[in-house]
Amino acid sequence: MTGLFPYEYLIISALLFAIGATGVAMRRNVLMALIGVELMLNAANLALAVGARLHNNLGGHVLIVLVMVAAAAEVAVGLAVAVRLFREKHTLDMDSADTLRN
Amino acid sequence: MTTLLFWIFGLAAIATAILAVTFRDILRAVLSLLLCLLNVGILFVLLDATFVATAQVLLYAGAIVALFLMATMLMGGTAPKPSKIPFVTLLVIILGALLFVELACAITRPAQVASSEEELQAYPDETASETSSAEEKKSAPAKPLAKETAPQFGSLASVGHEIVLKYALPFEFSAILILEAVIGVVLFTRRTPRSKNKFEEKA
Repeated sequence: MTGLFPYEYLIISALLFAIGATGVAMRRNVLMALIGVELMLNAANLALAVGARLHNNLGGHVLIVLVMVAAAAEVAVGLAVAVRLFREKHTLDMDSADTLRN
Repeated sequence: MTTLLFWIFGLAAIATAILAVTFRDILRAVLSLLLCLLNVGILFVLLDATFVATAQVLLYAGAIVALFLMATMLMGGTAPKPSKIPFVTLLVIILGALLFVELACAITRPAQVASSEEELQAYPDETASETSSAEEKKSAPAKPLAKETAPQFGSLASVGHEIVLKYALPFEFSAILILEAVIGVVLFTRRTPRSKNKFEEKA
């Protein structure tokens, strides 16, 4: 069993983060943007787990749990906004939320 | 063995993440997200973070994906076509690739600079007896991730110990945060026919 370098995990994490950010910027659907945000949060969690393992410090795991709670709250609020948007505009297109512009 | 598992599930995580971002059908995208989260959970197991992996499966793959599925089935449909401006998608992909390159540079740079060598290479090679703490990290420097950690590193008991004894206040604050989020969501999405009628009359 060979020990892995932390960089490999961190590269995977960075790749997941970049994919999530690309998804947020590329898709105009609210749900797809939220999926991208979830991917980014998960990538950050992976990096935190690598850090905890690297320094043998359980604080990283506690921080991951807190990030998960924040992610759950964020998804609940985001989906509530999506439901509200769908109810008022009958679409999930992000560009349709332009009431404040006029 | 661990290396092989890491590459299998790491690449699977990336592939499913790409699928989750590119699928036109939202339901398929959500299911790809579920697969990606499960793969990342396996990566957590490989990192000896068993409690976090459990929470990942329960909270992310269970609760959050279920929320996404409910929302998709409620509002559903396929995503609108990508932006009408022609080069936006290409531009965004290029910017995403640039972001990854930037992150990769940031990740690999400290290896050459090594401003504080001890801090960077301070992962213990020997097993710690008790629940691992920050003081124990100054032992034999090794380049790869340490092969062995404390037997209960990342277990439910040790992480719970850490949460209750050292990080109780942030944990309580997170409980308040999610309670507020739930109350806010209920208030925000509640149908109030009377007030809506009033609004429509005014408008």
